[in-house]
Amino acid sequence: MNEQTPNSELNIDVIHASISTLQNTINQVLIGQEKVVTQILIALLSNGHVLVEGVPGLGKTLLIRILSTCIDGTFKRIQFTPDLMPADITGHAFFDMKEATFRIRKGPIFTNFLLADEINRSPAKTQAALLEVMQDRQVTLDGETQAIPKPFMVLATQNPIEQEGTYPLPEAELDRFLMKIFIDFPSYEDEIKLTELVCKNYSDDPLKSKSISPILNASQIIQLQNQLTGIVVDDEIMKYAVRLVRATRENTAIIQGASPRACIGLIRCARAHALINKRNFVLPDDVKAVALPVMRHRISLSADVEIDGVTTDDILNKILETVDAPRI
Amino acid sequence: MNLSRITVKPRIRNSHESVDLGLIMAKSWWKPLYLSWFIPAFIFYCMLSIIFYEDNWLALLLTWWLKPLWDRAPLYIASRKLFNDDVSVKEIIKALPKIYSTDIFAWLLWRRFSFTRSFDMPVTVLEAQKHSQRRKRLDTLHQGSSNAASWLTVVCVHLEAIVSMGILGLLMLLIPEEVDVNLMSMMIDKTFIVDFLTNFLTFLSMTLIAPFYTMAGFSLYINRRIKLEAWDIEIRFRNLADTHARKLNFAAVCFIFISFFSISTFSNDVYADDVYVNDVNVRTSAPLTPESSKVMIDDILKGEDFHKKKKISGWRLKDMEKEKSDDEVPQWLIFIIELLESLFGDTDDTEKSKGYTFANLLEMLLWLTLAFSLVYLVYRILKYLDVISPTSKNAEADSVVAPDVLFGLDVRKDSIPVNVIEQTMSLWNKGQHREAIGLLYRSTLSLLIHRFLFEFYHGCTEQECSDIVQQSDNKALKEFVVHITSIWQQIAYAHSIPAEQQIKSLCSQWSEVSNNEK
Repeated sequence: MNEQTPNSELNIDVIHASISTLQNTINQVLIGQEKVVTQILIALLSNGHVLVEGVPGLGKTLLIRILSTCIDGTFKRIQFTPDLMPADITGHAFFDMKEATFRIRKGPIFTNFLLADEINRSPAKTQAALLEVMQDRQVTLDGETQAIPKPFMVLATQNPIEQEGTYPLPEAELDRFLMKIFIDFPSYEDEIKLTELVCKNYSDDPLKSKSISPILNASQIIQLQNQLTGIVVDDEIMKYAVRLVRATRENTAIIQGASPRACIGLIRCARAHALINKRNFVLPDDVKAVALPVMRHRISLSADVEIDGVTTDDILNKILETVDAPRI
Repeated sequence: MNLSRITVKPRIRNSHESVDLGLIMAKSWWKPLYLSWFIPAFIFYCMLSIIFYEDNWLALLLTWWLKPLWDRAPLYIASRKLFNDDVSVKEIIKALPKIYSTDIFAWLLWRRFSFTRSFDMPVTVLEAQKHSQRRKRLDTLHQGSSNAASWLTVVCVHLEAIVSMGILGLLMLLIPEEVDVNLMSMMIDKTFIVDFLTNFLTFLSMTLIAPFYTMAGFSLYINRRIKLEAWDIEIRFRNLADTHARKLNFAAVCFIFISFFSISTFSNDVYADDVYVNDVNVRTSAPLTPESSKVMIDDILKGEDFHKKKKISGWRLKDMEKEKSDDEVPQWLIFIIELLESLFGDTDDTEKSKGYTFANLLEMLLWLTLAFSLVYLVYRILKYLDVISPTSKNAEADSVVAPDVLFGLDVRKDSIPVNVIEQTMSLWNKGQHREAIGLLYRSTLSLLIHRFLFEFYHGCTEQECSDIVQQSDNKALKEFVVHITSIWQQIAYAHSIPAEQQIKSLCSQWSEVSNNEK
């Protein structure tokens, strides 16, 4: 049995209060996307990257801008296009004629929060420029390794409808995203609130209409990320996460199951979920709550199942229903 | 039946021509034929749809099963219209009970799947033949026509399916692209609306094809009768007779008129007797007897006219299949028939007796199928009308087999100790805190499953189990489950030991809940 006990130094009330403030502030500007905001915060606390799938106009850019404002970090946006080159993302070395030396021009990747908009519009060559930075948090430019500012989070978006002229993300890159989040239309009431918020002010930008001051700074976020390890995870919870991941490999509807990285992702996200819910220990419910966004992009369904209109979420929900939850 | 009033040209047609004629008849008399099929069938279908509101397929099945009845009214109308006899709605309604009741059970039971239904139906409806007479009549009629009638049924069954799928496909095409409808999942997980719609479309396709099917079969039947009873020749003779009768009438008038004038103007005597005698002499030299006639016939038959030989050469197909199958009776069939003979004690080894034995067995099977179907139907109706005893639902609930193992835990009643509280406190006092609360939690789960009949799926977490229990009305139980779940989560996942007071409180709550009845 895991003998880990709750970390007495972990002041759960204080941490929860700051996360709660952050959450509420974002929700005040980005209306009707509470679930998405929670999942983004889980990814942020877990030091992971997020792939957001949703139609244009749902506030993906706004979300990351608010996040960077609230956390007092830097924000960059890259619009992925078919002619985008890897050097346009990472940066490149050039020869300075005046000083007769090679100089490094850093790309937009050197930021705290990066919005990779419509990531699947660029070919695999360009998408691969993100592999190193997403995994190792560093960029190699002209043979030299450059560190990326901390915290670093990539929030990539893709459009689920328009598939023409797109390049599906390779499995290696998909696996580097901690979560894949679906962003959907807000409810009727929320949409009214949102429209009122924008139209009653002179600015079209909801962010400008609210005076938002930074709530946390970069070092506090890093501290929170480090404190996540203090959240107690019982052995049975670990086994449950592994059982869930392994079940995706044994399911006949799935041709490629989730990798061990999914197990790690499940536990990291479950810890963050527990923290957001003001707990210093992880419950099986935390694992369940993050199972879909953590695993849905790591599995591939067989062709016949896809033809039948079954989605990855359907299969994962069945797995969640059938895999025994931990007991005693 | 007045053959001289027949509205189609009475000539011998091949099968395809007959079916074509049937289709033309259906098109010509479309409205009365269609309505006479559709109206009773639709009323019946609607009534059943109301009764079997949830399982609409049953309404469709029963309407389909009664097709031999719905085919009869169009047949009756067509038989009248064929001989240029208009039939009023009143007459049809008056005739319906008799039309529908003739041989009804046979047609709805063992003849329901007859491939030659459309061809055989006129024998029942129009000729009102039954039993052995019907069989003999059909033996005669079937020669050379049953094959076409069978294929007609096969083709029409396929057409029905194609039409219903076609209508459904058309409706699907009409759904705008903007409407996000997953057609595949709709078809798999049929909702009531989809179920109802597909059934209704199938019913519509049945009504569209049925008049054509009935008329094509009727036309085949008429063609066979034209052939057998030589209607074409009879009608030609009748026409000839009419023509002669008209000529004779004219001749008689002329004769009277001329006679009147000739008597007064000419005085020539005519020796009719002589003429007669001469005529007879020319025809026969001696009085005819049967023997002399036979000799004359033989002479004529020996004549050159009957011994002309022609040599004709050409190509024709050999009937290979027939040659092969003539001498091959399957061994298994012989075995079954011999077995049946021994069973039924019939020692008469003739082909006829074999056939009857086989027929007896088939009849027995059909009766058994009927009995089973009736029992099932009664059961379904009773179930729908909720006549089954009100306690049955509770009995059903009681009969739900509770799982032995859930979430990997042994939740059988036997696995729970009788004195749960004592054992819990004993474990607690020994310092086995997790085991103590674990025992109490497992006992709670067993109680929830077996006593309170809660259903949990394998992936349920403790919190989800607790949420399910919150839907019940038992306040004490709800409070207890929330309490024990919280304490269990603390010790199991947070590794923090609760105070002893909390355990005692839990034990007292357990006693209260476990002693209370549901």
